[in-house]
Amino acid sequence: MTEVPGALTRLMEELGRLPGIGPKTAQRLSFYLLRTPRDSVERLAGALVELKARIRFCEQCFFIAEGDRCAICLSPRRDRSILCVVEEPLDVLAIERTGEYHGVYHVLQGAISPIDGIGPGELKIAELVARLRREPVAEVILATDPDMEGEATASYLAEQLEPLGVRTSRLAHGLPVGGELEYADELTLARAFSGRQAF
Amino acid sequence: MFLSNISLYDFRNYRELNLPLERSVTVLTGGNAQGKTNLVEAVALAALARSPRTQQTAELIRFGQPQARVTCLVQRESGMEELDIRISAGGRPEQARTSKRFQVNGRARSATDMVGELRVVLFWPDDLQLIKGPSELRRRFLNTLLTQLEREHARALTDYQHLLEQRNALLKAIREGTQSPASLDYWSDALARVGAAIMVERQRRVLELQPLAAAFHRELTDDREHLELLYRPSGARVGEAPPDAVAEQLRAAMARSREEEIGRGQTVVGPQRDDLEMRLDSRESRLYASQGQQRTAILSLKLAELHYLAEATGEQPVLLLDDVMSELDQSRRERLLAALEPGPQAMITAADLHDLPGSFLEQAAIFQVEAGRVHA
Ligand SMILES: Nc1ncnc2c1ncn2[C@@H]1O[C@H](COP(=O)(O)OP(=O)(O)OP(=O)(O)O)[C@@H](O)[C@H]1O
Ligand SMILES: [Mg+2]
Ligand SMILES: [Zn+2]
Repeated sequence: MTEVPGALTRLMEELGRLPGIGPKTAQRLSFYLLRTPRDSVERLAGALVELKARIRFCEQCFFIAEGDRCAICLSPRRDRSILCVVEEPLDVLAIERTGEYHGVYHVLQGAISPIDGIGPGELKIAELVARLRREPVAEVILATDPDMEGEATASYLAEQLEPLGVRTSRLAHGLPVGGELEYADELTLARAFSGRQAF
Repeated sequence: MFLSNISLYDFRNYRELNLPLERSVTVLTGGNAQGKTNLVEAVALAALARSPRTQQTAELIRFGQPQARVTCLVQRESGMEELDIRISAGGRPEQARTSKRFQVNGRARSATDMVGELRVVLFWPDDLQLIKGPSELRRRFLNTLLTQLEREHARALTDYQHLLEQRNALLKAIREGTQSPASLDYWSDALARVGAAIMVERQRRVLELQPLAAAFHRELTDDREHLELLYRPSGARVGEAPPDAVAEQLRAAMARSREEEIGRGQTVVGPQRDDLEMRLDSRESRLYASQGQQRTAILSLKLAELHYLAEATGEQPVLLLDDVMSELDQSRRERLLAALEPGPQAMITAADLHDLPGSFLEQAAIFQVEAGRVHA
């Protein structure tokens, strides 16, 4: 068998680690990059390096940020009395696209899933509780995914937040059950917001 | 409803097969290890969205090939349906997850939404363990029947399995001290709700199946024996209780078993522990029935399944009889075949045609199966 040069094998391995990319796709992408002009490959490499250098998670809400705080937390136009709890940064982007919501967010960075070794302690829940103690929030919208892990997370949160005396509501279930928020279309998501119910 | 055509590509030992089928009885004969059971398995796969023979989907792909495909044409009053299943091997060993993709008339379906498009009753040598074998076989019997009746049930079983895996993972993590029990109640609660729905449905269906099974059994034993089916739910008394009340009982049972559950890292109550008891003249047949009595009772149960499925859906299911003829004696064989007239569409395999009466063979389409090929 012919040896594949190390640099190529390494790239295939690295690409193959990415979600949604299998060995076949990793191979195809690698050979594609091999044929691509040097400057566009360098732009891609630069973007990857810059991503890690410049982007981090907001220290307050754990959405993506370029500095300590994200654009949403810094914006003077957001309504700080209402806070929407989601699983992933991508969920924030999906909700922002609806244009229906003007409050702030809290990104849990996942959902409770014992199979994956994720319990409440692995999520940004303590940070959420501390934040609610600190800030004058009147309503919390639990917008975790409408699947089993999202439901368990929402139920757990509802109980944790109860002693704080803040009103909690769950995103109305116009959302497809078992679905993921980031894939819901804008209209469905907008309706889910207007129809949310007290937990 | 009837299966008018089945085609296979790289499925088990079949490279390529296209087999038009008659509405009546098809007999598949041939030596051992030629592909008779494989063909029956393919039909069951199209109906149940899973192989009744293996959990390892990769085994279904012909050795050394990347993909297997099964396509069935189903004729029903409302028109023709094409059911298509593609099984792809995973790539490298560390990603060795084979994938199954389902389509009905060219549109993608989930596994659960595929079940029920083609309905089958499968009777094969494994079923002869139904009485003495592990309770898992009896739960599988119920699952196969109930999912084909109600898509909601298939969904509930899938959800339940997922919740159960989550809860068991949490119980183990609690035992090992890597997770706190803080979220256990939420999983228990969700599990109890879905579990209760499954149990209520099982209870209802067993009650409806019971008189049919008893009647067949009376007939098969010339009125000498009485067969009774009893649903034995785990962790709750179902009876006529509504789902909420059953869920409450399951929650309470989990709370009582908490220490045991954490100690074992496993959920110890719920539908995954249910059983179906069969009694002959009020005695538990698992303990007392002779070989012959067991066979008769199982035959009664299978005939009841066939008739119940037809009655409840208004459509005849396809009967798949794999190799059971050689396992039954003359009189039981005749009783079984009598049930096929005027009867449902059937596929019957037999290594030896002598296991089937001549008069029966005259009316059947007979095919020879040889090394993954089928010919008249
Ligand atoms: N994935 C596969 N690829 C190729 N061949 C396979 C595969 N899986 C099973 N086989 C082969 O298919 C052959 C036929 O199996 P099958 O169970 O259909 O036999 P059969 O005709 O029912 O025989 P019997 O009368 O003994 O029950 C077996 O020899 C088996 O090795
Ligand atoms: Mg066989
Ligand atoms: Zn922020």
